[in-house]
Amino acid sequence: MFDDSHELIERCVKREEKAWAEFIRRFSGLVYYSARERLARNGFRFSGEDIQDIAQNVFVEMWEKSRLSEVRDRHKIKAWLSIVSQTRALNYMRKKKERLLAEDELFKVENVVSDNGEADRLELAEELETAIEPFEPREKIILKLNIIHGKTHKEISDFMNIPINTVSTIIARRKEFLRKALSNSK
Amino acid sequence: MDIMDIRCLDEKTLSSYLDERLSEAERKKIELHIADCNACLDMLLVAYESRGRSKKCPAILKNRIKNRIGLKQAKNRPGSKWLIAALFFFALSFIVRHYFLQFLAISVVLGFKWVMEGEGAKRVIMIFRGIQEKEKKVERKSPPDVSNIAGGDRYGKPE
Repeated sequence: MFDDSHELIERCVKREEKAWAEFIRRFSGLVYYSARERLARNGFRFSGEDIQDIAQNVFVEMWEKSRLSEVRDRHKIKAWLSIVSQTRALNYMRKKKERLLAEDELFKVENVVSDNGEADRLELAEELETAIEPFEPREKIILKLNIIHGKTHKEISDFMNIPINTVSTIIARRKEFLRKALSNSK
Repeated sequence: MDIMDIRCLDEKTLSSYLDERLSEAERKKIELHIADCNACLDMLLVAYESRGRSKKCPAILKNRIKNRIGLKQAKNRPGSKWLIAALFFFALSFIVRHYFLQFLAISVVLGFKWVMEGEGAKRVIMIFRGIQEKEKKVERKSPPDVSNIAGGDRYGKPE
């Protein structure tokens, strides 16, 4: 699914400067996107400077703590790098919130967390959670990806590494089940 | 959006769902968690989406990261323009023989400028400055202890 980065990571682990320059060139966009998307999806209000700080911290951590040597499969590191960026983004905003509270600037805290207009989506998600409770884990994921996140059958198949026919069958069968359940409850 | 809690999967396990070839049992174990944990599922979803939308990043950020971890910036070679100019005037001095010396002088000045802007010359200048500063520090220090020469004891007082 992801690009081959084995040689690059090997050279970065050996702390070769050229490899690091290439690593930054190749992955800074991914780190930047992941951090920004995470904060946006979690309803944080943030500035471009915040995202740059987070992205910088991620690379500094990789460099100073030699985090790349921990990667098991060096062919594919994009998902890991993205998830690290997202968790660091959440930690950064948590610390920022704590700092602002400590400074007794409560009015500023409102700027850290905000409702980004996802109330409808959350309401739909809650209703769906209850309806799909008895389903198999794999079926739950497929329905959530399709109904809440609007992913196509192809995208779900790619994401879960399962055949597209399986995805289509599950969606058709379970949506029918939900429709019947809803009409019975009315 | 749910906040990740202590029961959530760690970064390596979670990312292995997209990054690594897992056995069916391993995949099912992760799916068992993400089916009920919206925070982890959303993390994976952003990771999945990031692969296609990761090109855009401010150039200033890349330089900032490189500076922070102490990497040398990729430099264009501004000194080469002086070399080209020097060669141009050198060639011109032979073409326009009437102003041979003038063009040659210009070419020498430009050549000197090129040498001084080179990486090697900058390093030599830095070394000389370092030596100069060291010498100044030594001069500022008190004169060397001569008690041993004068036959003083280990506290520096003459016996």
